[in-house]
Amino acid sequence: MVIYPSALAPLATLSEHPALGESIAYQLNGLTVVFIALSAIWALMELIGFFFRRFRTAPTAKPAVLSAPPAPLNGNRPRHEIVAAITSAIAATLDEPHRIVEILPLDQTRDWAREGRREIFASHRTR
Amino acid sequence: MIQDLLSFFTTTGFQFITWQMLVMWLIAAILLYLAVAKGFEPLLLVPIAFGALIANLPTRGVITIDRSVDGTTQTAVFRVEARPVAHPAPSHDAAAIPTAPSSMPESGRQVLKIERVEGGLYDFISQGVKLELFPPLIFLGVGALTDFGPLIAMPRTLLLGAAAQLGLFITFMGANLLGFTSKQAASIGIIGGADGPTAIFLANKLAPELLGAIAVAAYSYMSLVPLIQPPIMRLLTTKKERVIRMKSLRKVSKLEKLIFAIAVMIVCILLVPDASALIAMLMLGNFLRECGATERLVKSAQNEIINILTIFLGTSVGMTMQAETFLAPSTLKIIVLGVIAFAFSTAGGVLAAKVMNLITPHNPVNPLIGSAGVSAVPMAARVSHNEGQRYDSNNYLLMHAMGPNVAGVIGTAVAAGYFISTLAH
Repeated sequence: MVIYPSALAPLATLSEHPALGESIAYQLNGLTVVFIALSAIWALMELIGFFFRRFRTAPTAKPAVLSAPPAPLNGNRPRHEIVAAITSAIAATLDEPHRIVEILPLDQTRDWAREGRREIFASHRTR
Repeated sequence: MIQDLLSFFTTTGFQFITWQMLVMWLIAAILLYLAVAKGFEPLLLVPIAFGALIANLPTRGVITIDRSVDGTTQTAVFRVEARPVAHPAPSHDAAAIPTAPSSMPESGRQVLKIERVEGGLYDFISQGVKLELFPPLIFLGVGALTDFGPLIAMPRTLLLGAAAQLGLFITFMGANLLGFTSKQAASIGIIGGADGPTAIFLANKLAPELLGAIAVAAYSYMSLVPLIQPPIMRLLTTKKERVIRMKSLRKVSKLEKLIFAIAVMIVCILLVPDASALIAMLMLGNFLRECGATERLVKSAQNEIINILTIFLGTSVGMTMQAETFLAPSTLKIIVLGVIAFAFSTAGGVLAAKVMNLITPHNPVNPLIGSAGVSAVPMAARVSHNEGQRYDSNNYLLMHAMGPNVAGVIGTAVAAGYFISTLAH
């Protein structure tokens, strides 16, 4: 047997054309339900996020250190903006301390083909 | 021969054309123009407009419209001819079919043999809308396309998504005052959530007679978000608030995203079981995306499934726009109420962000992202970002705005579940 508290009575039996007071109570109930649902998810995600931040095992990535000036190829030194972009991309991708030793342009006739082959072989599961 | 030609012409559809149909052709043409030439949500408006055109042509074999004596119409009705058969005796021969009806089986259940099914193309396809199949399956694709990372990184933006549902409830009251019933008012109010599948899901359950007008209003206003929202955002925020820079979002791991999908599903279904279909499919699609082990399924959900269903859903909804039901004063009221719903939802999100800043002033939220709680993903987030850029070109709000934007999808589904649980049963 289910017993509905009297507070739920207006909720369960909203008329087809409710009075203003009844309608306002219905809206407040509805908004409260939405807030309760999303607040519960919020609380849960804050708790989970707290544990993930606290027990994270990987060390925080330190900013990349450029130990030597990049070795130019054919006398062409990369622009400072390109060096900054490359170091930023590496820092964002690698989640561990690292040191950039040199920046060299790729030999476009050989290395892109090798990279493409590596990607294709990696996409096929061996098991 | 002339007699033959004349008798042939009596079988054509010209004699069934009415002036109301011609008006609907014009409306369909306007919708097609807006969708194709102006880019107003073409993925939905083109099928809807086409469906509306088909619904207002004297077709045969496409859709059946039942008109009852009291003036109400029902679309997508197909006929099944069946006859009762004897309760099959226990037999290992699957081909043995009893031929003569006999007494009812002891269980009291009657067995029917379907002999003929009669209906048009969209009498069957539209069952996907009538039986509430298409909207949840589209949500599967939406979940597969959505990245909840920004929301997980800043979970308090869930409250902005909740506050942005204010428009739904205020519009409900406005619709009641304009003479709509509670069920119709709820179906109209959901326009404020700016979520097409949810609007269709709810309207089909509570007020199917208004489905066409609600769908057109919802999708039209979704495409007008860049026009409707900015004036309200500027009205409710100061210049100082618009240039607030928020802290960078932390990195969210894959495991967090997987836990999020399951946690949201469990919490929402426990609180509002009537939203189960929408929430479960949304989170299933998202889980498939984030687990990384079901790439083929994700690609299908993001592309083939959602595209096929979009075509069928749009055309089925368009076919509910018969002249008799669409050309009514209620349609104009729905269009006006739709704008009100959007406006209040935008205001609700922005004001909630301002309240949040009063409570936590040390970690402020730019109020412009509050308007993204209107779940037109990702357009509303882009609007927040563009508005922020107007006042500070180095302020990048897009990823922050994605948090409340996707939270709004969950909030609208919860609100729809509340309406169904309180009004449908």
